[in-house]
Amino acid sequence: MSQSKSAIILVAPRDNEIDLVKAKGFKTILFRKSINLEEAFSVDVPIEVDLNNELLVVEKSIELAEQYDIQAVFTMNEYRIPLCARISEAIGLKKGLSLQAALNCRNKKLTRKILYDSKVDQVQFVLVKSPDESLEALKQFSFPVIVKPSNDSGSQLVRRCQSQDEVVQAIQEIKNKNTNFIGQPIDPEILIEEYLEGPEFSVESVTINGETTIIAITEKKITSPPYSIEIGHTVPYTLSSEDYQSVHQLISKALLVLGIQNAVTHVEIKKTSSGWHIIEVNARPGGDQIPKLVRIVTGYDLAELALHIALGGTLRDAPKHPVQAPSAAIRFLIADQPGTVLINDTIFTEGHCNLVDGKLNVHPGEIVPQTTSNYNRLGYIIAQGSSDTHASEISEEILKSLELRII
Amino acid sequence: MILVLALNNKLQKEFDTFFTEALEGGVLSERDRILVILATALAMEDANTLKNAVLTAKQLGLTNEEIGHISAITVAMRGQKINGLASFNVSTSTNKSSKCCE
Repeated sequence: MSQSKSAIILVAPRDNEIDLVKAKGFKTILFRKSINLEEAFSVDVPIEVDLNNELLVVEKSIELAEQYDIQAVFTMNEYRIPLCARISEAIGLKKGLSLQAALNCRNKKLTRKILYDSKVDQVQFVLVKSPDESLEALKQFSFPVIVKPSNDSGSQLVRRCQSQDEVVQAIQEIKNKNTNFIGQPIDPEILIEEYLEGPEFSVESVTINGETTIIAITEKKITSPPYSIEIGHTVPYTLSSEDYQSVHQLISKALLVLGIQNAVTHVEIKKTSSGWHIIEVNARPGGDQIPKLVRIVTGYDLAELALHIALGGTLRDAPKHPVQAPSAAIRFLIADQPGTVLINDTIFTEGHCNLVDGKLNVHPGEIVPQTTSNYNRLGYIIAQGSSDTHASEISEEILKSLELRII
Repeated sequence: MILVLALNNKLQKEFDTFFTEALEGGVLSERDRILVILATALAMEDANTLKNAVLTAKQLGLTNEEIGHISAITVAMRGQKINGLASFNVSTSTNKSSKCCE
């Protein structure tokens, strides 16, 4: 195999993975269920395949490994992290995430179980398969509780429930769904967790040879119940040194017991009256444009860093860009009820001095359903702060100027 | 969807056999076959066949530049045909007294 045939397999990339791989000079092999012409021309080897048929994808990868010198299998798509790990193991790559670690993070019931059993984070939880089972299980909880599917993502079907009836309804809703967002069967074991009261953050970190370094801490804004929709992120959030130590210890131990040796991770945490607790662990860079915020503030591009680590790189030789601003924030637009969108959208065409990026997924006058998860938000704006004004303040001002209403 | 040919089961089966042999068998190499399919899909303006042909072509190692060249040949051939649709003879003579020698 010649050097010119060094390639990276990309599995259903979510963001700019293809560009990152091309920038490093590798051939690009793309696996996706459906590939349009534009994407077909943007890679070297486009392959349409049912990604839920993992055995078939692995077989195809083994065939490709005979033709190409495959250096890594890469995606930032949460749902496909285990498949990437499975392919990596099948073709003998040793630098990335193990399949077991990927599964431990992807499946929320496994995460909870491992964290609990290892005493790293003993959040009270129970697994149920039916609304009837929940009635008995709820005797150990006080309300509110969180009900969530074990293997979905993006806050889909995650509910904060105040009563037994709401729990029954939330479980029934998950059971009615049958499949998750990408068509995989919903895990029959549904999580009921104690509700953790307190502010929520995410820790963007990198683990290399089992040693974890925090790159940034993101402050999150979540909607009020019943839906847990992320409506804003701000970087950086500066913790007290005591909190920083606690958080660093918590996530280092968590990643260790989950089996993560080499990866960029996005760990969602909350500070409660009983201390810091983990909401979930993702074995990939955060979504929701968090990598963009982190790059503005730290110079690290988390996706680029994830690829660098998948290729066996270290933090010392990691690519780093100029820092652009002391703070950065994203705010999402949501429909608080179903109805017609009224919005002053001029900012999306004319810009704003502190607006880094913005996207409107709907048109003024369009009829939209209520936003119920991260998947049906209406758009976003990203602002960067200055030495005088924090990005969170600027982003809220921009948000206000949009005068978004749903009638 | 029912294909019209399927109304005659025997002919449909014969067509399927012929189709498979033409596209997947025969004397041409896999690479040559996909070049022809690509050019045909372009000429027929069949977007779906074109997409599938591009995927296969790239899996066989064809580059974007090579696919672009096939497109250029198709465009050139079609262009030549269009150009020929309105052909007529134009006299280049400007000598109004040319009949004087007749």
